[in-house]
Amino acid sequence: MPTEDNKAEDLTTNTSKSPSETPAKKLPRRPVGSMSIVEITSEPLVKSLQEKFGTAILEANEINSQKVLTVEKNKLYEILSYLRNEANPNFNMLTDLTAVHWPERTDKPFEIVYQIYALNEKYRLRIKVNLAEEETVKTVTGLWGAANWLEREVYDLFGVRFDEHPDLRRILLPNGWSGHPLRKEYPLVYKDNEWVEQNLQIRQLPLDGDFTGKFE
Amino acid sequence: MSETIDITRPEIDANEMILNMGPQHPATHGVLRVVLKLDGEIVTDLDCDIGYLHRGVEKICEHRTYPMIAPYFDRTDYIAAASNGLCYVETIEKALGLEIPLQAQYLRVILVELTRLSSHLLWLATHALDIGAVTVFLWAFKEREEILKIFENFFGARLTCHAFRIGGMSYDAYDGFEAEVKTFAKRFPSSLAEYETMLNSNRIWLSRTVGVGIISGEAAIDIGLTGPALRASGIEWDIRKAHPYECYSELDFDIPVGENGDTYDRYLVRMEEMRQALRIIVQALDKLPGGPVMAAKVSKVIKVPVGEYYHSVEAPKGELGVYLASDGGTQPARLRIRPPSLLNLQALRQMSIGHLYADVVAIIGSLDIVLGEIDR
Repeated sequence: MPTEDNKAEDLTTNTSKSPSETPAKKLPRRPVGSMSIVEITSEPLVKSLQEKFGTAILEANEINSQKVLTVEKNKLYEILSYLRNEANPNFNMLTDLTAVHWPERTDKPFEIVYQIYALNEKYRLRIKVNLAEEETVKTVTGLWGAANWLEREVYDLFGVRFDEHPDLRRILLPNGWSGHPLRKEYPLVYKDNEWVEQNLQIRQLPLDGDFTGKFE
Repeated sequence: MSETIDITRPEIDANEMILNMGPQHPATHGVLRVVLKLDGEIVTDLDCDIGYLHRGVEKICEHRTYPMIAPYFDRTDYIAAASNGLCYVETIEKALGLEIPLQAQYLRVILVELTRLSSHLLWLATHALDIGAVTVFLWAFKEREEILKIFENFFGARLTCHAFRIGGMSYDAYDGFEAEVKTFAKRFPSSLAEYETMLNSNRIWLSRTVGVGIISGEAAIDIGLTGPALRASGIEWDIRKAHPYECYSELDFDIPVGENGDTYDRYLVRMEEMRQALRIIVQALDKLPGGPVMAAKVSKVIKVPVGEYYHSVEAPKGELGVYLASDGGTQPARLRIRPPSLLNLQALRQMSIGHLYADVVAIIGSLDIVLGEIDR
């Protein structure tokens, strides 16, 4: 994992922090307010979901006029499966699947975000689920083929595992790399020196080293 | 295939062969490595190895202020830089609730459609070259050069075009911009017709593309295909029509749709799309309203309110989306880029199985991928 040496390269203002510390989330000097949030429990789709899944729908909001549902992890797969197969409109497209790391939410720092889309009705919906560290979630590759690489990417960059995924391995970073870069504790400038040395035969130069002459 | 394929693996059938293609292969349009499992010349399975161009753009964005992020977007899909820039600035504008002056909207549309033309021309050139039509390659580059000259005059750069700012444009069009674009628009249809006479009834072209890499409309939606690749499978869906942004709702254009979802239809759809892009450009030039190009109320320090926003545009390759999660600071808490090429490339496996090895090259070409965007 990151050492002090790597941290010294960090180009941002938080160079003084050690990697283990909560990463710099620069709070605004004056509050800027939040986007408009409107509850949408009267929406027919939300109503049908609430009838079917009850309290598993934790929040149903329209944030900046985009529909967002936060759901409970245990019922997530059932809800997505319902939206994919039975609901009206029929959400036949998984536009995007990604994650957000909020280290300040200590109990459930990971947020998995599903952007789903009903192509015929032109209806966008965002489903969010909060996960604790090390918590896993069931794959949706069985519902949308598009989820395969997207889930691999979330695993690669956040370390969130997807149960029953057919092919869960790193996608952007090479096999054997340590750490998951989009976690907030991962520094901006960091490379897995051990991996680089073993696989690319490039040895890390000391940061304060003398680059003018020859080195071994 | 569950592992990066190891040639020494014992479980491979004696009749099967593992063939490594790339990462430095001219037909992969970048640094894409494809590992193919072959039975004779027929592809039985394949695995894409991506990430050679990964430079952590999303991570870098979390450490930059909102205006500083914009240039990074020009370098994701580097052959359609203006479209990427548009997607980013629009996301921030919509999250902030900014209204953009009409002049800026029309200029943006003209530039983005020119970008679509240049991107499609590069696609046509390389796709045709992959299949062996060298003449088309040279002709398409000649026309693309004319667009790049306009870009050079407008942006000061040929590839990393960057003039869109949060709130509008950094400057108005230069003198003579309209005349230059009009001259180009007048000549371009005849060039397009020339390409088509070279290819549309060319026996070699037809035998290499018709019926190759078929994907049905339903399968295309399921795997997340967007853009021309989706429309070639008969799904009439274009973000410019479905969720209009900028001034697209005031412009008249059609969405070309294919029937069979094969490589030839993807070619036809893109060719027709170029005609439609030209239609948009000509209309937008006539409607240019004049006036300011920058919204009046843009604060110097941009802070997006706490919340989240997803916005997508119809980039030349498909749906390019940005998901922004803000904690109210001057830097985003998370900025996710949804690259169209990543999801389009995912369909390669499905499209290629059962085809000849040589067809994989044609299919990759017809997907029009850019690795800079896939790997980010």
